[in-house]
Amino acid sequence: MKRDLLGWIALAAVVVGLVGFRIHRVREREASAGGPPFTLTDARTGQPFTDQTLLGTPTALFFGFTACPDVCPTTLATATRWLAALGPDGARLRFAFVTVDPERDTVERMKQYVTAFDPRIVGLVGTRAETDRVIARFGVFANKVPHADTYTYDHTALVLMVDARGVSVGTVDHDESDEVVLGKLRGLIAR
Amino acid sequence: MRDRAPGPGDRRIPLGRDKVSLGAPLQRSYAEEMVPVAPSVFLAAALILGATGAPLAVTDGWARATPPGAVNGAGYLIVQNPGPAADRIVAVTSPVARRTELHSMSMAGGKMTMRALDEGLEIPAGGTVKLAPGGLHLMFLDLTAPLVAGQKIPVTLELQKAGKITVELVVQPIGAKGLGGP
Repeated sequence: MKRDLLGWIALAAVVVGLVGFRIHRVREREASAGGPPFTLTDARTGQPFTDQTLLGTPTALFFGFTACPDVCPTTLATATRWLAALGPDGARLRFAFVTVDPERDTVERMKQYVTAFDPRIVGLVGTRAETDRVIARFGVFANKVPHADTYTYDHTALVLMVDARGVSVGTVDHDESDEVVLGKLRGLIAR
Repeated sequence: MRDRAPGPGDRRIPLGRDKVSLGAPLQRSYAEEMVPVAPSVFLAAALILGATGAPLAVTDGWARATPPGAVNGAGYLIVQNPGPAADRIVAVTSPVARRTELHSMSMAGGKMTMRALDEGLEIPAGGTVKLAPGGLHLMFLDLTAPLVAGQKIPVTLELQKAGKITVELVVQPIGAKGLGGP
């Protein structure tokens, strides 16, 4: 009887160990790809933009919405200047603008919006659920704030630097000097 | 650009200068009634002006061009109050938007927060308030048409004491951080 109990305890320990190891492996694999999968739409091309799209090319990711009048257009206009200043290196960097407001930002609206900026800046739109997955994956803050008969979003206004493995490795701020930003972006491209 | 029929929200005063106007425009019926007492009204206005010193000055107005598809826009200006009494901007209107509001914006820990100033914006006595990118701004909600660089847009500030002041904002390129380009 006692021996049976010990046997069961040993078996349970082995099972717990195996399950734990499995969870650890899954987590490790997710971490190496930067987090769970997601699917958005590249508004310029209409093609899917997924977690797999991130692999192989470093990406500067910016979250905002087209009804944002100040920090969003300013950052994208500044990014247009950065891409020009990077010269040939800029061809090895992707810049993506992800809307946190897919209720108003349709693929069609985003497609029009990004025409005002460098053609390498892609506009990404997802469903609410997919958008929330991307927001969570990159640890971005986005909070809908009702205002009169409309609403706005408080949101992270930093540009995330995501390496060619899809892992967020740092941020740049449109208020930093061009010299600092270009140094960081060159570092990202060279990783 | 301004082909919208005038609505009740965009009553504007004709202005030769682009800086300052004192006193709210009078409704016609009221104005007619007031004709006999007009000289004393003017005298009173002159006395008030004398008492409060120089009027408010609104300068350096500009707005950011909007990308296609953007429904809102932002405008900036500087208000100087050389007088000895504080004044307050209580409302803003412009024919370019369904509604124009005063907003504050702040950045903390990489997070942008924007709020409407429901109490208006105080211009302290002898002080200057600057609306600039990354901070206070005029928010144009539901633009009637995109704002295009080079365009001039009228904006009317309504002040508690100084009344309405209409100025023109010059639309700058999207990447501009001030009047006069990027």
